Amino acid sequence: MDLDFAQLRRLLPHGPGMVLLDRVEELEPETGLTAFKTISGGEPCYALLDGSAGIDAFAYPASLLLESFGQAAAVLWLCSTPAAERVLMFAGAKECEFTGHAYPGDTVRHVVRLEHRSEGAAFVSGHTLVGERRIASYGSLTAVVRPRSALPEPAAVASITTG
Amino acid sequence: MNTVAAPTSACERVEAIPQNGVLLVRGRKIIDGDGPYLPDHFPTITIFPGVFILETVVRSVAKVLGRDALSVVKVRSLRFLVPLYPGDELRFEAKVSTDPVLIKAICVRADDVKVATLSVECG
Repeated sequence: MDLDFAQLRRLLPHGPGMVLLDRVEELEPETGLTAFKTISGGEPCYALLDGSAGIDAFAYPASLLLESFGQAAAVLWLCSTPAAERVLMFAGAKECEFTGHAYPGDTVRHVVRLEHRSEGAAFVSGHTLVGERRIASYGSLTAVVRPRSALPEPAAVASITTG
Repeated sequence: MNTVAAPTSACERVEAIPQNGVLLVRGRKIIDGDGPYLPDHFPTITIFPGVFILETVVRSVAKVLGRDALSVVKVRSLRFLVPLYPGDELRFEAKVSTDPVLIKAICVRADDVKVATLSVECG
């Protein structure tokens, strides 16, 4: 199953400026997915850079790369569970390595695997590539299930899970 | 102006005290709900993203080390325990060793409730 940006907007509870994914491919519920994000020089993280900054200053922050990967993991979970009244919140990470950088114009590709899912939590692992170059590896990300009432009302998950 | 891309700022108040071969770094920051990303995280209930806690601590440590920036190369562990909302004060205390830079931090709110712990290596 593939998801376009409009479907991701409806699926994730984030507002548009915080949706850090553009599309998803090869989504297999309970198993994994591949998610894509193209980095733009117009993103807010670059707004305060001096105009004379070199390209090194434009390395996409590891924190946002981690958030983007976490959102891909959330999409996988949301499409793997019928519990539409609950949401997943990022609870932690272990053994994540950042071995390269991405810059405006690059498309990052997150490969996400669901390692384990229980009633109250989900555990994923994976990596991020730019082209064939691996820039990050994620040993384990943990997310916990919370009542959907803890967050603003998102749009229908059902429309995504049914295609 | 920033010298590197960043989604959030360092702590306004940061201090560093050498202690037993490491640097003890303390910082404080009031969460501002008007940042460029926060209104969309989430549209009707603003929550300071957990990864922004990591970013705040790393940028604050770079500040006291006199570095333009520190690049996270490894997250050994990161735990987010309770959310932070606009108006909350984020406080952290970190033990920092250098060469390479290793940061082990405990983050709390003003009422001492623990909100996050992290252990990261930076280049």
